[in-house]
Amino acid sequence: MTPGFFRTAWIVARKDLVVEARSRELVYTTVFFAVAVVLIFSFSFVVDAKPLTDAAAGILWVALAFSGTLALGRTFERERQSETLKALLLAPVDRSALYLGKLIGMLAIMSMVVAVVVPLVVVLFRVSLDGVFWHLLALLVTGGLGFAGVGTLFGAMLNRSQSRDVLLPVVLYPLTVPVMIAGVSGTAALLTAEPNLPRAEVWLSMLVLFDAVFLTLALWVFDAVMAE
Amino acid sequence: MKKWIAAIVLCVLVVIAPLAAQPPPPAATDEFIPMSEFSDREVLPATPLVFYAYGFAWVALMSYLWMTWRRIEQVDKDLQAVKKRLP
Amino acid sequence: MGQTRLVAALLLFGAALFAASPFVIDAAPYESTMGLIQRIFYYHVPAAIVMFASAFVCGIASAIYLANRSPRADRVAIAAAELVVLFGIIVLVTGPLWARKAWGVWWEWGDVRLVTSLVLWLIFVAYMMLRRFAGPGSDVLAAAVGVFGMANVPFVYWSVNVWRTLHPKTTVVRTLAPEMLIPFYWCFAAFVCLYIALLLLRVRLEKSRNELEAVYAEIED
Repeated sequence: MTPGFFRTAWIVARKDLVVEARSRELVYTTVFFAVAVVLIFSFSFVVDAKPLTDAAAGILWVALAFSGTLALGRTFERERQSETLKALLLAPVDRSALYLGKLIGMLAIMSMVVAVVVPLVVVLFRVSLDGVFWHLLALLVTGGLGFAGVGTLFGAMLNRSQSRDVLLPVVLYPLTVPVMIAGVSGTAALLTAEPNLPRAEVWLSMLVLFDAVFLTLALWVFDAVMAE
Repeated sequence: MKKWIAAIVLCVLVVIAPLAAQPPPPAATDEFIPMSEFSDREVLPATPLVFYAYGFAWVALMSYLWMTWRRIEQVDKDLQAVKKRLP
Repeated sequence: MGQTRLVAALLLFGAALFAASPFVIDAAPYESTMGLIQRIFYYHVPAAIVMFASAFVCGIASAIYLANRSPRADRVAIAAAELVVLFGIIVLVTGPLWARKAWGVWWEWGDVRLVTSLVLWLIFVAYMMLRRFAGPGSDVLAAAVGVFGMANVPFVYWSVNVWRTLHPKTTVVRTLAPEMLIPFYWCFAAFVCLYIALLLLRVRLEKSRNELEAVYAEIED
């Protein structure tokens, strides 16, 4: 790693965050998309005006996955429009730092989505966060990192391809199945009447391992792929 | 031409085999399948399912083989034609 | 031309094994609890083994391709990926046919191997879609999917395994009695021969295609 690795990553991330802070276009649209997803699923899963508590965990993660995919597509759309990605790649910096910078930007957007969707789900499905808040947060952070980690890599690689809008979910969803299973199962264990903390911790440890393996792989692959 | 003959021979071998292997002894099936609460298990005959499974595997493999062979011949033909055009 | 002979020999051998397999299977004893339907395993399990092996082959070839852009690695990767899809279809059709009789349902989420096979199949279908539809640079893109797909297998298996313990279902003990090993190995040998032959054939197709593209590019200059 060159000495400027983390600094480069931060510069890239800060550029995205500054642009976003000015227009807030991506954040608003992604958050409202997530809210819309939660509502559609709520209408599908509420039976006789009684919300299915079991469905809360699944709906939460589906909303995150769908809005995350949308945000990924939009983030790189911006780069393509101003051809900044090419310019970034020509810069004499460690390429993996670009990946990390983009990832940080994505995580910032997803945290906004989580901040809105989690309270929404808690309210609509009448679940309680007593005693499980930190575990839930840990699951969301590790799961989000795994999903965004894989997504940022393929989002960047698909940037120059045709049919990129539909190909990103086609590639991303099968590859992030373990994240979804762990996220939903862990959250479901937390949002029940009697939260099962040890069970959630099992899923948490799997997510940590997933993140470690796949972020490392992504850093390596990004470097190898963008060598053109 | 030889490839086509080989392909046809293979297909014939493969198609005759299940016909010759029939019938499996149905009496043995009745003897060995135990009673259970799933009525489907008693009512649903196993023979057609096994036949479909085997048949599907053969059809899938042979179709792929045939398709790949044909694509190779097509590309080789194109290659010959294009090479002739080169000085 | 030596390779053509090898391919033809493997094909004939594999196909012969395959054609004879119903007879060999017929001679095997019936499994006491399941009866005739258990015969499906003789095709289902070897197909699954070959499918996973092919995913591994694709993953390794993809990694090599990403590391040094070797055209040969790329050809092997795409051939192996296509075969994962092919053998995967066989696994995913024979599995439910068995399950319908044995459990009364077409699909059982508690069957870890079947669910893992489905996810793996989807990953490599995505690989093939990328190669077809992603345009320039799709070879590198797909190689990344290949590598990630291979790395994902243990995670998918583990998570589905832990996930299903929430829904306990009587798992079928899929061990084979010694008398049943002969037809099993017979079918396994048939599948492996056919796999290798199909892989070599597909690599040959890719090689010819690359040659053709190279010649076209030459003409355009």
